[in-house]
Amino acid sequence: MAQILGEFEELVLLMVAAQHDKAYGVSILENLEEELGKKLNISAIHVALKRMEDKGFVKSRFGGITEDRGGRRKKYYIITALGKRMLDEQYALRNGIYRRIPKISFG
Amino acid sequence: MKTSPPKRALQFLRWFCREDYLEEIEGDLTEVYIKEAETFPRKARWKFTWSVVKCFRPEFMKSFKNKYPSNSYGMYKSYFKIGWRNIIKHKTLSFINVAGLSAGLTCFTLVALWVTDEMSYDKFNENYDRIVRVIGTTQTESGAIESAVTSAPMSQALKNDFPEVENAVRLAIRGDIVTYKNQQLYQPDILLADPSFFDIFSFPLSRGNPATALNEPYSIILTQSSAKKYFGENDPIGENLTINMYDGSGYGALYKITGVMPDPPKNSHFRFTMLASFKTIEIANPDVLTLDGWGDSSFYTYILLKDGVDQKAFSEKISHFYGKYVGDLFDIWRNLYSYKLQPLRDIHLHSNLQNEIGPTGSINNVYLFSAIGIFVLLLAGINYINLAIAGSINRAKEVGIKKVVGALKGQLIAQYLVESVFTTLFALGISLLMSWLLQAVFTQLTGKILSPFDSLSLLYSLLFVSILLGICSGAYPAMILSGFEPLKILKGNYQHGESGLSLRKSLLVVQFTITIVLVTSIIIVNSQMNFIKHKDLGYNNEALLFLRVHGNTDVIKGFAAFKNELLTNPLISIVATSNAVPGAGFSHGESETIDRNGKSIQLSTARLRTDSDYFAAYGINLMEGRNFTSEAAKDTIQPIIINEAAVRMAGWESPQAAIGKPFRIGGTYGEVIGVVQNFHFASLHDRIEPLAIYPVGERFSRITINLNHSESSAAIVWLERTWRRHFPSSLLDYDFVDRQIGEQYWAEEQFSKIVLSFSFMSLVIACLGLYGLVSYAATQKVKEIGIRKVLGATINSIIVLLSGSYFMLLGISLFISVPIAYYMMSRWLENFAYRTSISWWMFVVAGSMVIAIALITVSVQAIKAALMNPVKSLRSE
Repeated sequence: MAQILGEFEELVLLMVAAQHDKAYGVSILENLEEELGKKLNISAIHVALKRMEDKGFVKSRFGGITEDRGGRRKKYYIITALGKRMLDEQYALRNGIYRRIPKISFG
Repeated sequence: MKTSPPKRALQFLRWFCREDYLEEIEGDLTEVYIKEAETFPRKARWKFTWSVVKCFRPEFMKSFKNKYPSNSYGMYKSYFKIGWRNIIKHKTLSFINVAGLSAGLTCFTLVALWVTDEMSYDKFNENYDRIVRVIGTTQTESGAIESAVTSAPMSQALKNDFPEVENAVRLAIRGDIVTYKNQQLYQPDILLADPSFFDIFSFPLSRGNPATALNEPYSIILTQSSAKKYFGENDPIGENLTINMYDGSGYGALYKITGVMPDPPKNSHFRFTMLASFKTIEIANPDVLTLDGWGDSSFYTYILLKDGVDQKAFSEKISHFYGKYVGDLFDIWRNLYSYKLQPLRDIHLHSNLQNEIGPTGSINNVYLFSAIGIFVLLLAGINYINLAIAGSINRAKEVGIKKVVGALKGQLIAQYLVESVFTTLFALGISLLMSWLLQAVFTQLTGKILSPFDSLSLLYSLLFVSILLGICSGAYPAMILSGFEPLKILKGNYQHGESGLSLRKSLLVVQFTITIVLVTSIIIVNSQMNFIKHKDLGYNNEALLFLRVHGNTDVIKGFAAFKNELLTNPLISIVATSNAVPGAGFSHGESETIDRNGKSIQLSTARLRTDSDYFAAYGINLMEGRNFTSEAAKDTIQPIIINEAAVRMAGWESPQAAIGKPFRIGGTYGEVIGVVQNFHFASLHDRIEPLAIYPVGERFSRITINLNHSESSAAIVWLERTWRRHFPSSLLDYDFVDRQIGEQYWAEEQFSKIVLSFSFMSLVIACLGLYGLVSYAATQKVKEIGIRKVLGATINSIIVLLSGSYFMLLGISLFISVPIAYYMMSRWLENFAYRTSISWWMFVVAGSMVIAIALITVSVQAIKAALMNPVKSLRSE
């Protein structure tokens, strides 16, 4: 089955992988906003995370209670082996094509 | 600074979001919010709300279909199982419940049947809203008398004069002798009508042409059943029937059969077995269309109005329309006679005129019976409520356990409602069966042949009423039961439901109030019926037989010989002839005489024609003057005997003064020769009216025969034999005068029977409920009774303990019911001009009867409880 990884999902997955074992909704949001330089809505992150969890690219666990979340626990996401392979394939695909670009000079 | 996110948005999120996602999403949203709120609190709030809205997507939503996909089948199964076990466990209680409810529903079903039938009268006519009847009002000294009859020329005149009239029909109704194959039969209810009958009323013809069937004189249409009676399966069209009706000879005229129609619906205000042409009357009595005819009110006129005619305005328009047709008579008639219209829809239930075309109903009875039907249903509902509340204590533990394992209040209410609806539906089944079994009784009581299974809509409404009854009577107990606090119940210190006690008591008071009212009514109705039976009518009505002559010429011609032979038998003392007997209603007419100052005055009097033996036969007391001579009919100046009421109305100072006064009856001049004492020739509903009696001669239609009291049956056998010898081809149609008189009170007899059955029902239902309550109280107090007995209480004191409180409640009911019953029954007694008075003993009897029955009911249980061995009840603890 060909697994599909959307563009935004790829970004989120990258961030989950980058923040290994420390990634949760708000941290992903803030880091992505910083990297991309634009405002995102948290619910978009949630949608992407839930979809990828269904596809098996990430898995999650609950953390401890913190005061500044109204008594709610954080949910941490870790990339799975399948997710990592997906990222690798994606990276290899893009890199391969990128490398085929001839030297072009833009006057 | 801590701020919390917008409440409403958060509530919304919590409401729709799946629970496994909620923790994370709410946490993240809150974290973002708190961070942002430090700098831009307002913006943060908006953003939070916006984020919640963005989360509102299918994959984040919880499933609303089945939060807990639990096995609700099991729950419903347990409802029925527990309901059933309860019924089985408390057999007496369940029996009382079901018996009470089905008794109530049976009454209600029968009442509903009767009421819907009464309300349906004449509605089968397509022109129902446009048909009106012309009724006449006669002014008399004693007030206006309204009568359903009008004269024959009226319908044509109305049709000619008023564009509002689309069509009009005249009707006459009579019973007569039909001779067929040399056999004479009495045929009641022969209707005579104009051909327009079929255009106005909706009666179809199964054979023959409605446009022509009634055109010719002496043509007649048979109904299906009368066709069968005379012709069996043969085709009657074109055949002839000999009927002693409008014939010159006295031997009957030939009527040609021109059609056959289905039997007319029973819910028509007039009923008939044959339908003859009105033309017959015009041919036989040409007078009816002359000036004299205008004064002869013997017929019924119905008008079909054009669409959109204002009935009220038109009714006023016709009040004296006859003026131009009657010439000089109008000067006298103007103040005496006026006419108005009565809509068809008012005839059956709202009309009680003189000379109605058939027996009418009464809207008051419809109201009364509807009220009684609802009351009885109410009684049954109250029983259920009372017993359910009382029984609720037993089920407290069940409720406690259910609540502990998680039953919601709504589910508990639903369970008890299911139980009560189930019980009422069961009771409905029984009551339908009962009303089917009671059909014969119902028909006997009401004269109606009706079945609840005839009308689907009635069945549906009964179903609806039963479910409603179940819900209403189940609702309060369900609320009480579901409101129990599980902790208190299961701890065991739950107090018996004192809260429901006052309600229970007041419901009991309502029940017994209704019952006492009904029982009082039946006593008063009965005492009035007794009053009627034993009232001295002013004449003798026992062992009096009368024969109907039906215009038989043979009988009239051979009467003298027949009479002579009758008088030879010692069993027969007097034979008298007349045109009417008391109880059947005398005709009315206008008379003229002079008052004490010699001034001419108009009187409206009842009229009776008799021979000289009539007064002796009936034992009517001649106060003044003399009797007719045997040749009186041939006198040139007609001798007239009047009653006391007529003397009073004419304003003469004494009966003696009346003798010799001139007295004109219709067109005949006469002289008063005697005065008789007042006697009740009409029913006791009405005051004794003025009466003018004049000789009958050979125009008699009734023969009254005084029989020997003790051997009347032998006399009748002999009479039959003698009749057959004298008049072999004539029908002997005889009846007893006292039966005829009793027939006037048929409606009251029915009424008293119906009220009797209802009061019996309500007494039974109320006592059932009481029995249930007391037996419940006794089981609740079983330990208390045991301890009391151990400590030395006497049996009497325990009986008083158990039943004492009910005694007071009954007292209150009695107190409330007296004024209600008094008011209702004095209204009913107003129907009678001569009536018994309501006295205090009636209330005492009714009250003590109900209380005695109730106390017996209570004591049976109380004594049982009091006699129980205390060891049994106390051993277990």
